[in-house]
Amino acid sequence: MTSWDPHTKASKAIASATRIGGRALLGLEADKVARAYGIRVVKSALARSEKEAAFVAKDLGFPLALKVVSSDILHKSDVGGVKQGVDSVKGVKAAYAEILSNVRRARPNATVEGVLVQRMAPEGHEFVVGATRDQQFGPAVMFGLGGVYVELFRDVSFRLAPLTKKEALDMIDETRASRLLAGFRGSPPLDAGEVAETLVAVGKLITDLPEIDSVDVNPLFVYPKGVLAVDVRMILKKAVPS
Amino acid sequence: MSKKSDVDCFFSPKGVAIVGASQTPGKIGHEIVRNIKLSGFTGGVFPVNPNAETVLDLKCYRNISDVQAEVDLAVIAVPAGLVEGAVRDCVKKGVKGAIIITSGFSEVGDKGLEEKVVSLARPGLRIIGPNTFGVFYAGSRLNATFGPGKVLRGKTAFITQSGALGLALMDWTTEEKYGVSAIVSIGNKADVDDADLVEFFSRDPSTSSILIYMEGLRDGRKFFEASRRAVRKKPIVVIKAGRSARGAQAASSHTGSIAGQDAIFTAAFEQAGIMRAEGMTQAFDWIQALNENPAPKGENIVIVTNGGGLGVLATDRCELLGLKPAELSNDLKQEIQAITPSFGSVKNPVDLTANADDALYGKVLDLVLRRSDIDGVIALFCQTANIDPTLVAQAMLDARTRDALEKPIVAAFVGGHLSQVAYSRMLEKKFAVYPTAERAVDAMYALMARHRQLEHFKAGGGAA
Repeated sequence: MTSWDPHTKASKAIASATRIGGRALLGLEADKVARAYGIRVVKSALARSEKEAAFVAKDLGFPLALKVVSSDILHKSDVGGVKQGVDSVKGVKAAYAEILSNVRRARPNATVEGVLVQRMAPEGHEFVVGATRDQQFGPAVMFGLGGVYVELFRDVSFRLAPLTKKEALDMIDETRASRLLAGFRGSPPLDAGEVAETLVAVGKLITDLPEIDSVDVNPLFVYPKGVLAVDVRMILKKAVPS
Repeated sequence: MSKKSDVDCFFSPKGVAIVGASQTPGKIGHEIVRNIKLSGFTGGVFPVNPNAETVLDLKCYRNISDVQAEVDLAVIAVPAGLVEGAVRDCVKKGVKGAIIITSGFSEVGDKGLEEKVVSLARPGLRIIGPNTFGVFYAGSRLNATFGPGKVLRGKTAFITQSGALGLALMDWTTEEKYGVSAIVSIGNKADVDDADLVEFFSRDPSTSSILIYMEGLRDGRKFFEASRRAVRKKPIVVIKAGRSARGAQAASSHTGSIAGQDAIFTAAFEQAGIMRAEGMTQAFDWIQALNENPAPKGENIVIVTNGGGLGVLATDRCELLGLKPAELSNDLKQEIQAITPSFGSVKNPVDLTANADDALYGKVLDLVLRRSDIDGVIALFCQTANIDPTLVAQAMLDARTRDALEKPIVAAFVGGHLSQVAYSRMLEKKFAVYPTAERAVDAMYALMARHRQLEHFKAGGGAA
């Protein structure tokens, strides 16, 4: 297998995460696995210094969000660990310094691994794409209205994985949220084709990788052209073979 | 993975042994021998019981190994404690299939005994049950059940996880004049499961549709794969009883927690092309329509009625189910206008008004059945003071005959005694007929769902 093979790339990312004993793949690790399967994920990079932050910023483009990375800090914004709408290299350096000093002041004992520099996604309609393993039917994929509405409306549909693009389009049609995609009240139609591709990709991912128990892509921003996964989360199975 | 042919022995065996055959009428081991003997089965029948010389005039054997002839099927009806020994004897004799009638296994919590029996049987002996009332198969005239002796022959294979429901249905088939090609009481599914049977019936020439009453599955994925292959050949209708929320308990993600309950079952059925009925009435309504009609070739449905109200009810139901009553073309409207009273409405529904007699029904049905821009017909009749429903029923039957079943047609007769006579007569002639307009529309919905499935397969969709 070549390094282009998504399974190989994803497995490397999972292996590095399991070594540090995680039960979940968060942030960059989950992004890597998702990207290996062709899922369009918002661009980001980890910076360990002001200089590194400036360097990756040039590559990512603007505007950017910066977020502290520390396993000791759960609520990043409470400690001044998040800066949004940063739109210059100078601003990135300043934001990095400010985050570190805020965190040091609020949590002097926290171990800080660095700062996540993330390209800010333009506002899009929020949908959710997920995958789970059913005891009887095995891997299955979910689609629905995203963001905070997932739990509220439960406007979701399922298909067993792997699935074809046609099956993905069918499952989109089953939800009421599909009316949003078709262009609701004069807003332009959204890119249902790319949503379907994302569902197919998540289906392939969970079929290929037995280590992964479930996947949440929430929200998936959907635009008239294209989609962007803003937050990707993967839960690993309890017993992971080393 | 089971071999392609290893459940065939349950349906067309060369020789059947009944282990636990009894001389006492009313006992399960007696009723099974009687049913096999009287059902017209032409293979060998060998009662086994160490304490009897004969059962129902058939020579009785001390042990299955004493039978010289080939025995490929055994029906085991001995007490639970003796099942293990009976299975060992079957394996020694080289029997290919055993139907274990005996109960007292996993259904009462004794999973260990059940697993032991299955492991003794493997790999050469397949097992249906335990805890089953048996197997009926019209193709070989084999009634290896302790149910009613008489079962009406039809086109549907019925697989049931509930014994009581299956037994009730065996009687019901004769009463309702609606037959089956097979009934399998699948019991605890210790070995042979729904997927094995779906695979068998999909290639069984005497079966044209498969109906399953299901409470749970042991291997959902296997059933899904088998069903999605089978529906390419025959429709599958499932009545699925409640599913527990167990699957959701351990879930630690959004997707996992929402996926509980029924969502995955629903999705799997949808994806495989299984038609899920809400209950028995709907399931049989669908099966009847699917068995007696070709699938429509397109989406254009016409409703013909003698009462406006019935037409409106049918139209509402169509809308709810996503069926589209066709826009009638001008020349069709003119053709109908020429033979209907001027106060009739030439729209869809075509309202022939309360004076419509059998002759008018016949003419209008001929017109719409002949049209290439009409794909299916819903014919409705509500009883009026001066028209004999049985004559209208005959007109519908004749129209269908003249059309040679090119197009699907379903009917409803609404009214009192005479309507019921008309209804029964049509049922006897295998016409998909119902007592309400809504149920006739439901039946057409099943046909349309089948049409859409077949189109999907034609376009290269679905599993290979």
